[in-house]
Amino acid sequence: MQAVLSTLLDSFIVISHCNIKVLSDLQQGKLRVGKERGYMAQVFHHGPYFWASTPGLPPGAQHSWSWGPNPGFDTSSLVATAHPLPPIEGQTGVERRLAVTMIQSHRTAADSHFVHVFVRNVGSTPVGWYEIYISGIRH
Amino acid sequence: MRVLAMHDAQGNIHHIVVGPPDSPPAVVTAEPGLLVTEVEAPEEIADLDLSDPQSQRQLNEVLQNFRVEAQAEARLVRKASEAGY
Repeated sequence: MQAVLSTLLDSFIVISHCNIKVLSDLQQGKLRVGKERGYMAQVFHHGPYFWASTPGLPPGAQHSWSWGPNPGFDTSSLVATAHPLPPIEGQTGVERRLAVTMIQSHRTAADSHFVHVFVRNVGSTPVGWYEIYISGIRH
Repeated sequence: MRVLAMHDAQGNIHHIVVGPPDSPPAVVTAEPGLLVTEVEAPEEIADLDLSDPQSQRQLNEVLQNFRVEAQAEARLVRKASEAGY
C-alpha cells in the first residue's frame, strides 16, 4: 500500500498540486480510504425518463427536471444526459441537439433535498421526443 | 410505470412524462397555466417497455388521442368520451 501511494504521490505532484496534501496524508495514515473503512461507493442509474410533446421543445427553450423531495441523492455525485430520439416514422432529415446545461442540488428552508437538471434545446429544430438518464455514485 | 401529464384546464395534454416504476419520480417544469397530474397509465401503455423503440409509437398515440380526466382519481380517457370536453 505504501509503495502504491508513493507512486501515486509522485505522479500527482506533476498533475495537480491540489492532490498533494491528500495523498501525503494518505501516505502518513492521517486519512483513510473507503475500502479500509469497510464500505464501497454505490453506483446507480435511473431511466429512461421519457418526455414527449407536439410540436416539441423549441430551439433555445429549456426544461427543468426535478427529483425530490429527498430522492436519496444527497450524498451522491451526479451526471445526467438527455438524448433526442428518432421520429416514429422515417427520418426527420434535421439535426436535433440537447444539452444538460446545469445540475443543481437544492436544500429548502425545511431541509428537504431536491436535484434539478436543466435540459436545453441547443439545436436549430424542435425536439419532440427525448429521454433522460440520471446516474451517480453514492457515498 | 409513472405517467405525468401536463395539461390545460380542459384536460388537453401538452406534454407527457413517463418514468420507470423502480426509479425516483421526476417532474418537469410546465409552462404557466398548465397543470401537472400523475395519471394511471391507460391500457395502451400499461406494459410499455421504455427501452423498446416501438414504445414511442404507443406514447404518441396517447399524446394525440387522450386527455386528462380527474375525478376520484386522475386517469387518461379518450378525447371522444361522454364527458364531452
